[in-house]
Formats: sequence, structure tokens, C-alpha cells
Amino acid sequence: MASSIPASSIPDGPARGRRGFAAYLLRERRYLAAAAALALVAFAAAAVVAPWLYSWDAATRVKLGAALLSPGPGHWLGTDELGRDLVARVLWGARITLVVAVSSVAIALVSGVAVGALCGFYPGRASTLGMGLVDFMLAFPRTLFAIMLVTVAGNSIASLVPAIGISTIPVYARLFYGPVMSMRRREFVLASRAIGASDARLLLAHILPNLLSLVIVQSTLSLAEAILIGSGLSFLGLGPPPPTPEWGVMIAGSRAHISSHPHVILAPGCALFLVILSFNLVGDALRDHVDPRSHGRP
Amino acid sequence: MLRYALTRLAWLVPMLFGVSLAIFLVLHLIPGDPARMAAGPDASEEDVRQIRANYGLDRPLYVQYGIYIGKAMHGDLGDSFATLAPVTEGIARTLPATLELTTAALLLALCLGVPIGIFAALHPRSAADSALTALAVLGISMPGFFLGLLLMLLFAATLGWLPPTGRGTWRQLILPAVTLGLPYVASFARLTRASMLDVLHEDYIRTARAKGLPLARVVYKHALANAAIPVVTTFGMDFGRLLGGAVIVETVFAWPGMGRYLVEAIMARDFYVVQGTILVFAALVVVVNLAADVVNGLLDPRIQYS
Repeated sequence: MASSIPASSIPDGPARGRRGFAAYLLRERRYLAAAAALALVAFAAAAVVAPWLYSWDAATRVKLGAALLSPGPGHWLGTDELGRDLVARVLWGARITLVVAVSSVAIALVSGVAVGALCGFYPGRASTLGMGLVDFMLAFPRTLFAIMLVTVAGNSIASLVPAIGISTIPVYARLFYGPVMSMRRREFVLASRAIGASDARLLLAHILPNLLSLVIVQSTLSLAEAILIGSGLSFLGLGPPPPTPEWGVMIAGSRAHISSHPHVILAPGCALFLVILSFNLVGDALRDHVDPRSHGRP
Repeated sequence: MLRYALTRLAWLVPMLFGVSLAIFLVLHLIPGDPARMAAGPDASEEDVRQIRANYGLDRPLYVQYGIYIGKAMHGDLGDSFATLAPVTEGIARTLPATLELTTAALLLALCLGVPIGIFAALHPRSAADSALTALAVLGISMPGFFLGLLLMLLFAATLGWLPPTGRGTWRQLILPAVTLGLPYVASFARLTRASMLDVLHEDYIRTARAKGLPLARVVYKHALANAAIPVVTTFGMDFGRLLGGAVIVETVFAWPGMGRYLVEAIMARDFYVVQGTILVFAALVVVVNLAADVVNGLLDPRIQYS
């Protein structure tokens, strides 16, 4: 197969489920990746339960009398410069981060896979042009591209999501182009075609399900990058406006107090770093799980 | 060789046109309106119409692009809404600072990353090798602004060794350059390592060793020149990411570069400054990628234009 993706990364079937991955982590003693997976579960749980633990009001209402309290009983992570409890804000931040990351990756995934699969399935002049555009977008700085989209559309979560999503489309298009192109010549696809399956059926029922592992690995890594870019844009003031408890917004807002009260930066910053790190560690482990040959390779 | 370089450079012209068209279309076609941006949220419909007419924003898009690109070729990227000064003036003022910062960051990444990568390739599966893998993951997981603030907290606020912000002395360059370059140390090192490991298994390396050349000579003369090719290619591609990072790092350290100019323009809803700076950023990416191609042509005579 003349493809950029090794043949072994295209799995034999969908049998390897979540339990397979957990067993793999323990068998290969990848405890760090296992811890990262647990951290992601905690992150998702925090995002879900945040509204039951703390009201939106608790996370955003200014209480100047309680400003810049150090971590301690009552406020386990302390309070920020406007007296807001940092546990409440970090938890709500998890919710916002998860929503932004998942919805932007979903946009990129659906559109990018569509572009890559169609270009790979119908090679020709249009497909060459399309992939040329994709390569061009890949070389363009993604942060700048997202900045460009947010600039005119205005700063809010509603414009942050498509900005990150659209700037990620080329990643998926590039990833799916090669495998789809090589797979359309495989025997099982030819066999279906011979018994009269339509192109749509070949793509949706035969080719794409075989590339599911690519989706899972890339989406995990894309979530990490979406959070990185999203928090960066929010830090610059291009994301949701204050007092939204987004982690990048929180860090930008509390910057002035970094030397006197470092906890105001460390609480959201460490949460951000740990979540991105966990997605990357789990993504790397998933890739090794799906493609054993990549293990130990950079 | 010269012909190869010139052919590649000739590509610059259509690519820059393509980039300018792409940026123009994105900024004009996505929902939102430059005139409304300039007028501010409280402006009346009449004001917005007036601004639109003043800046020619009511003309058909292809006319606007024609006028824009015609002026751009004469070195006019429009005037700032906020200061009324030409955008090119602002870019000329801020571009050197950005180039200084990115060059320092890249030099740091290359000067540390490549030797570490060579060492790891010569000692596979050593502690240094696994530390490198760990560092690379940390590098891509660390948001630039958080790393910058942590370094500032440690070296400026706590230890007092370095000034926290501003530009002027070389001491002020250290923190921003390290913040920007540090994540790339690990990625360059990993790339060098992988590329070196591939090359070290080639027949010509075994031949060179067999005829009795010292290891250092084989590594630095025979292997490195070949291993450098993927590193140079990725260098070109990483440069774009680095510029994106520079926008954030400049904001953290109050570094008066083009990234900060861009961010301030976005805040002030200064459309032509945004369009102009993004165009220059994109042109930089294109030029550096072409330069990387040309360098690869120098490194490997087999690469020819086709």
C-alpha cells in the first residue's frame, strides 16, 4: 500500500474497545498514560457536575471583601482579585473548556473527514486542487488563522468554536486523504462495488468504519490542541469576555497579581496544563495501542 | 543549483497573491462588517453607511481586492482607523522586534535541540532518550502564556535575575525567547534523533566507518548533512506555529512586536491594521518555507525542481 499511514494502523475490526485500551495500559505498564486517562475522566466529571456544586453566581459575582484570599478552609484554592472562589471558577472553566474543545473538534472532524474522504475517493483535478488548498492551510499558522476568524466575527464562545474548528479542518482532511485513496482499491471494497453498492455505501459502510481508529487517535490529540489554541485566544481577549470563568480569561485577568498572589494564576494554569498534557499522553498511548509498530518511536 | 533556487523563488509571486486573496476573502466574507467594526457598537446606520462609502467598502468585492492589491504593491496597506497613520509604518516599527524574538527562539531551539537529538540518536534507549520523549510531550502541552508567566514569576519576581517585560537590552530578550523557544527544543531534538537514526543505518555510513573514519567525523560530516533535510523541512513548517506563539508571548512580556500590534488592533477594531499584519505574517511563513526548500536543495543535490 502506497500510503503515508502504516498498514498496521488500519485495524482488523472494531473489536478493540475501551476495555482493550485499559488492559493495554496495564499490560504495557504505561501507568502515566493510565493516570492521564483517569485525570480526563475527572475533568469530564468536573465539567458535568460544576453547576450542581457551585452556581454560576458563585463563580462570577464580585465580592471585594474576600479578594485575594490564600488557599485554605472555605476557599480551597483561594479567591481571585475580585473575591471569587477559585474552585468554583476552575470547575466552571472545565465545563467551558470541554464544551469549546469538543464542539470545535466535532466541526473539524465532520468537515475534515468529508473533505479528505471525498478527495481521496474521487481523485482528479478538483481533488488535487482541494488538497493543495488543504496543504496551504496547514502551513498557515493556526493561531493566526483562528485570530482572523474571531476578529471579524466578534469575541464570544460562539465565534471561538467555529474559529478553532475551521482552522483544524485541514488536519483531518490530510489524515484521511491517503488511507481512503488506498483503501478504495482494496479487495473488499472492489467486491462490494461488484455486487452493486453505491459510492456512498462504499464510503460510509465499508471504508470509513475501517478508519475509526485514526479518528479516535487524532481526535484525542486534536482536543489537546483545541484547548491550547482556545485558551490562548481567550488569554488574548479574543474568547468569551470577563467575568466568564474560562481558564485563559482567568489567567489574563489575574496577571497583575502574579508576584504577590501566585495562586490566582497557578490554579487555572495548572488545570489547563494538566488537561492538555493528559489528552496528549492518552493520545500517544492510543496511537501505540492501535499501531504497535509506532511504540518506542518518536 | 542557482536555477533551482531561482525557480523556487519565482513561485513566491503567485503564492503571495494567493495568500493575499485568501486573507482578503476570509476577512470580508465571514459574518461581520469592517465598517461596523470601525464605527463601534453604538454607531447609527447612517454613520456606518458613511464609513463604508469613505473606505470604498460598498464597492463589489473584486473591485475592492483590485484596489487593495494595487495599493499594496506600491507599499500602501491602508491607514489605521485609530491613529490614521499608515499601516506600513506600524509594521516597519514592530516587525524588527518580532524578527529578533523569533530568531532568538529558533536559535535556542536549534543550538540546544540538534546536539541533544544527536546525542540521543547515538545512545538509543538511554535515560537521556526517554527524558527527551517526556520533555517533548511537556513542550507541546504547555500553553505559552502560562509558561511565560511561570518563568516571569521565578526569574523576575522571585529571584530578580531578569527584567519581567519590555525590550531594549539583551537581558529583556532572554525570558520571551526562552518561553517561545523551549517547546521547540524538544521537538527539534526528537526530529534530529529520528532522522539521525534513519541515516545511521544507511550503507554509506557503514562504509565510512569500515574504511576507518573516526565516529565523530562520520556523524558530523556524513550523517548530519543527510539527517538535516527533514529537520530543515519541519523547521519551515514549525516557523508558522512559532509566529502564532510569538503573538501570545509578545502580549505576556509587553514585547513591542507585530503580534502585539495585531492584538491591539483587534481590540481597537482597526480593520486595516489587522489585515496588513496578518498579510505580513503570512508572507513571512511563505518566504521561510521557500527558504527551507532552497536550503534543502543545497544540502541534497538530488532534489531538483520538476
